[in-house]
This record gives sequence, structure tokens and C-alpha cells, in this order.
Amino acid sequence: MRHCRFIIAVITSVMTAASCISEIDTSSVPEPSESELALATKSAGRMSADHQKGFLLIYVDEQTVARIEKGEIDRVAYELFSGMEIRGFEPALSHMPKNKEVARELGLHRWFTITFDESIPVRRIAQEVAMRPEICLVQFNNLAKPASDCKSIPFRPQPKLMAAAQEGATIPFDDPMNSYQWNLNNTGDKKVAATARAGADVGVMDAWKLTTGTPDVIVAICDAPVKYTHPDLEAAMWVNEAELNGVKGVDDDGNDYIDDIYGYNFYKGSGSHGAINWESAGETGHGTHVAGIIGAVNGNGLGVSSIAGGSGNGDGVRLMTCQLFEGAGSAGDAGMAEALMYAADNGACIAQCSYGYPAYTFENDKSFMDNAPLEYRAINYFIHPKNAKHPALESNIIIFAAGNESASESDYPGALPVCVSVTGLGADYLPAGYTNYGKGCNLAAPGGDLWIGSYKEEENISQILSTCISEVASDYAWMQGTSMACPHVSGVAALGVSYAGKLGKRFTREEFTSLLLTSVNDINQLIAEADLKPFKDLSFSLRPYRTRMGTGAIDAWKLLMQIEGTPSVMIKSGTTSSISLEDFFGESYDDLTYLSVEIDDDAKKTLGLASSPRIEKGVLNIACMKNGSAKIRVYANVGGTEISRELSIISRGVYSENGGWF
Amino acid sequence: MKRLIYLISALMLLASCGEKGGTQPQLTLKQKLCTEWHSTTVSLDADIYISFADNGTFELYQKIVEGAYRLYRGTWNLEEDLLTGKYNDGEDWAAAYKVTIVNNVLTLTSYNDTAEESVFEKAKIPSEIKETCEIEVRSR
Repeated sequence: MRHCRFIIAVITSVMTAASCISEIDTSSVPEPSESELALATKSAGRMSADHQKGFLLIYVDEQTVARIEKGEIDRVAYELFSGMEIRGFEPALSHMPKNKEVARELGLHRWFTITFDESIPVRRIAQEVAMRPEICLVQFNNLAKPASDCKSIPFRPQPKLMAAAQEGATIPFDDPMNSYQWNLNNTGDKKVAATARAGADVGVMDAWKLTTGTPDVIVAICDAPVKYTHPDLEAAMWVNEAELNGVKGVDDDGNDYIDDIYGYNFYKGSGSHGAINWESAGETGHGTHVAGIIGAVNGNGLGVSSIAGGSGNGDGVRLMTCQLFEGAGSAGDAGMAEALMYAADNGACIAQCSYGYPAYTFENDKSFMDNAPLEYRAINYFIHPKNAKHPALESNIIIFAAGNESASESDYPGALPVCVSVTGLGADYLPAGYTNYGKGCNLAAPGGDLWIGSYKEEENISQILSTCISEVASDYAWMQGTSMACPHVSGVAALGVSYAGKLGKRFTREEFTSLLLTSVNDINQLIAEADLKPFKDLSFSLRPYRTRMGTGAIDAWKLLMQIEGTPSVMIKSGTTSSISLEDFFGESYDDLTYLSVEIDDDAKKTLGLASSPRIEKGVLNIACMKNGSAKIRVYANVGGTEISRELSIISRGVYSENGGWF
Repeated sequence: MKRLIYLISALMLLASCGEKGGTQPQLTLKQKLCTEWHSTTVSLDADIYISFADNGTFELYQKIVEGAYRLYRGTWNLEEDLLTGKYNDGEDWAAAYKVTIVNNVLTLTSYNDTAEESVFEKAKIPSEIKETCEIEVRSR
């Protein structure tokens, strides 16, 4: 289960090959050909062992695209490719995004595909087209694929499993399996794990008293298909009413996609033609499992409960299926990019993405931007402020799994500063053996941990229980991985957007991400105390994980409290107060650096500040000589992402630890 | 015995009426305190409602800055005019307070070096605040 997520296998680096040219002894090897050098200069993608055969993505210059837009595509194709064995030349995005202005700003209109016979080496064609001055970049279409051990354990209602349910769970919905959902309400029952810890969950029990999600929040599940006929998901699906009530085979809503009722299938390698398909060989139920964690219908007397699945009145968030994988097939870079654009164009405000390139594929952000330019631009399309549709957000939020390679850095694209990258915890609030950690990781959430639970599979409930597909396992199954941790954060974010909408508040992406990354519980102390943990048949040391799992474990209640208003800090006037910033920025994360504190002159006067506040070792020292209230802003950098928090300082003659007035 | 108590109470009531020249019984400070109050101190950007019940419990609804109202519960005790309290999470109030009530205005003056005053007027706690505050705040 270590690789229980989808990974994109990317191994051969054309760029690396290029860099090698200058390092090797050129007297002993032939000079690189002109076409090889051209490709080395223009290669934007790393040629994967799993790249698509007979297919390349190219990025053309403005003059060429202008001619194509005038209707000269055949002439351009002739001029560019005469003498080459090219069969097809067409725009890479089979449907151009709705927001043409943003699409052009990001150069999305300049991407095209060329197709040729699969027997011809892709590299040879790549070298040939790279010689053309009109072609600026050449990108191999890397194919994502499900890891072979993406295993689910079906929920089978046998006596041993019945007896293994958590005792004392108080989830307020009548969904019969929710006593197994320690990720929502962890009672610390030792039947989950000998090391299970009460409260090691997503902190949603109190949060549900404020919101259980609202249907105007649409979460795009960019993943394997979501089985939209699943009895626990059907009522939670985003529905394109025009297509639902329209004519089959007709683009009834004019969005360029035919029959996209619940979303769209971006895998083009089968005969599905855009129809969501969960019946292909090799299907795992991964996307359906992810979707159920976020939005399986609450209180319908069926199966499981979910984070943002409503109050029992059909009022939860809505799930849009953006299918990237069909059985063992993958939509590739072009399909993934198109999926994000479709999600933005059709109203999704959160993109839930449990896939990525394995750790160490890219050295840094620039390396990702250079080598996966189409996907990078699509991410920027999704989060572009002009594409935000929900009134509570000025730009959309995109959340990725950190990866399951036990590596000391996050996978990309999750590691990008504009994305949230999620690491995985077990029912003990400790890192699971599979999780990545370190550079680029932002937050931790329950992802399940098989190895801390019962050795008997029929009694093991230490993974995450969610919806699945009966064609593979059963309607409900256990799975684990950062793929499962990621939708916990997406679900909490969906609750946050719902609540912000209810309160009439509006946040920028940076503000909302700051709130998300600082709505956490400390796990470092537990990691330090635990030292060793089981993984498969071995034990592993938790020492490397300390301060490297992100800012802490996500807590839905804390997020809603922050959304309600600027957190207030009461301090005693007439003395110097030390405020621990961990309460507002999460625990002492290794990659967290406090940058500055901002306070204006009026605020200084109101609070009677003799000098500017200072930050030392995660503590804000402030000396208020007068009673009064004013706002300050603290800036920090978390794993490469700059965040800031506004705090209200209430200086009083009386100070209570729990925030009470008296 | 009961008759005797009733008789003494009636005599006391008559006596007090005679002194004041009206019909209102003279309430003790504790009796006066046992009602619902609303803060009038606005300089600190806080809105506070508190109710003191005669069984020694209180409910505090407070909104700081632009946040929502939050509910704190606990117990209180009045010794002469000195008010102390404890939240349900075990935390003592940060200070004891000297209580004065004049013309339905409650002034609580902290019994510490700052002598901070919090001023309240008698006011019913709006039902919409009570309804939105079902979650009690405790130390987390």
C-alpha cells in the first residue's frame, strides 16, 4: 500500500542528457547532432519511460498561432512538417478554456499536439520538430498510471468486523458505518490501534455545529472516476442541469463538452469519448474513495459520513468528477491540464488532486515549471483571480497529496508554493510509514496506517473507510495513503469556504491558504515521544519527521474559528507580553520562518507601545502600556509559501488564559 | 415554626416599606446581581453579555472584534461585594471584582493592580445570540 496513489513515472531526462554534453570528454564520443542540440534547448518535458507513443506536445510562437487562428492550419502544418512523418497537427486542448483572456495571458492557445505512427521513435520526431524556429518548446506527454499496489480492503459485514467498531463514537448522523470512521471522530479505542489516540482526527465534530458544507461549494475530484451512481454519492454530485435535461450527443450548454453531466473523462485512449467510465480493467475505486471522504451524503441512513456531506438534508458540498485515469490508462499532461481548466470554467472552487510526480523528479520549483510547463500553466489558470466563481474566494484553491515514497520532500506539483501539499497520519496522530515529509509539505491529515492496526485483515480498521465501487471491491472499502489525507484537507477547506460564504466573508487565495495552514494541532511533541513506529514488517524512526510534516494536523474547528474573525489575543497591559506564534502559525515547523511584524502608528498609539514588537524564536514580544485594541500583521514563510496572519491585540488590565473576559 | 418565619418576614417587609416610602422590597447585592447584563464598555472592541443565576452559575456570551459570540459557562461566588468565578474548564477568573450596582448599572472593578472597570447595564440576552452559541468554549 506504500504507493496507494497515482504516480507519474518520469525517468529519462532529456535536460540531463543535454547537461551531460558539456561534461563528457568530447574527443571520445561523436559530436551531438544539430537536431539533438535543438531538442536539448527546446525540450520542456522529461521523456518518460511511460510517455505516450506517437504523440508530442509543442509550443509555437505568436506569429504561427496568429496564422493558425486565421484558418491557415493546413498551410502551417505543411510548412512546419513537410518531409517529416507527421499525421496530425491540432490544438493540444481539445476544448479551449472559457476564459480566453486568461488562457492567452498564460499562452495556453500556443500549445499543439502532433501525432505520428507509434512505431517511430518519439525522440527522433522531437529532434526534427525542435529544429523548426517557429517551435519554441517540445514536451513529451508523460503518462500517469496507478501504482500496482493501490489496494482496497472491502467492507464486509462479518461478526469480527462488527465487533471491531469504535466504542463511544458520537458522529451525529445515522450513517451506519460511521463508528469505523476514526478519522472523523477518534475515541482512542484500542480496537483501531493499540496506539490510537482520542482526538487524533480532523476536528470536525464541533465544526459541524457551524456548517456541514453548502451546495454552492464545488470540489473537482481530479482523479480516477467518481462513480456517480453510488448510493452514498449520487445526491452529492455536481450536476450540469442543461446536459442532464438535454439531448444525448449534443453540447446542450455550449461549454464545448458533450454530455458532461457530472464532469468529464479526459482520458482519450479508450472509446469512452468523455463519458465517465469506472468499468475498465485495472480500475481501483481510488477516485470514488477520495470523493466519499469529502462529500458522501451525511444522514441518509447509508454507509459512511463525510466531512462536508451536509446535515442530512441534502445540503452538502458538490463533487465534480474530472476523470484522469481509466483503468490502467492515463490522461497524460495534456489531459490533466485540460481537467483543471474544465474545473475552473464549470465552477469548482477547490481542486482535489491525489496525484503527482514522484519525489526527486524535480530539483525545485523552477525545474517543475521548465519541465511541465503545460500543467504549470493550467494550475495557474485554475487559481487565476478572474476564474474564481465562489463569492467567498477571490481565487480558487488547489490541494495535492504529498506522495507515498517515504521521501524527505513533497512530490510536485504539490510542492509548488501555490499548491497545498498534504502528508499522511495514522490514528495515533503520527506519520504513516508511506508518507513523504519535509521540503514542500504544508499540512498533515489522517491518511490511515494499516500497520498500527490489527494483524488480522478482517478486523483491521486503521485505514480510511470511504465509498468505493462494487465492480472492484464493494460499495465501501478501506484504503490508505496521502491520497486519502489530501481529501481530508480538501473537505475541511470546503467547510471553510461554505462557512465564509454563510458569513458573507471573502478571502484571497493567499489569505485562505494562510488560514488553512494555521488551523492545526501540534504533532511534534508526539513524534518526539514516540521515536519508533511499525511499517510493514519493520520499525522506522520518527526522528526525521519531527517538524517536517507541515505546520501540523489540520483541525476543521480551528479553521472555522479563524474564518469567523481575526483571532484576538488578550494580553495584560503595563507589562511585556510574550505571545507564542505557534498558536497562529502551527507548531515549530522546520521550514517555517517568521519574516516580520507590521503595525501602523495609530495602533502603536492606541496600545501605548514604547517600541515596535519583536519576534524571537517563534515568540512575539510586545509591551502595551495602555488598555486598547488594535490590529497587527505577522508575515512568515512556510515551506516556500509566504503567509501572513492578522491578529487583534486586546490590551487589558485583566488577562485570562482561556480567552474569557473575566 | 413556619408561621413564625412568615410573620417575621412580613414585619420586615412592612418595616422596609416604611423606610423607603414605596412598595419595592430591598434586594441584597446578590439578588440584584442575579439577572442578565450587557456591556457598555466599547473601547476594547468587545461585546459581552453575562447572566448570573441564583444557583451560583453564570453564562458569558462574548464577541471580540468581529468574531462570532462565544459561550463560556462556570460558577460564581459573592462574598460581601467581592465577586469571584471559575470557568467550567477549571480555569479561575483572571481577577476578583468589586461589585457595585447603582440604578441598574453594574460596575465590576478588578481587584488587582490595574483596577480595570467593566460597566454593564441590565439587558436581556438576545435569543439569536443564545441560539448561535450552543458550543461552549473550553481550553483546548
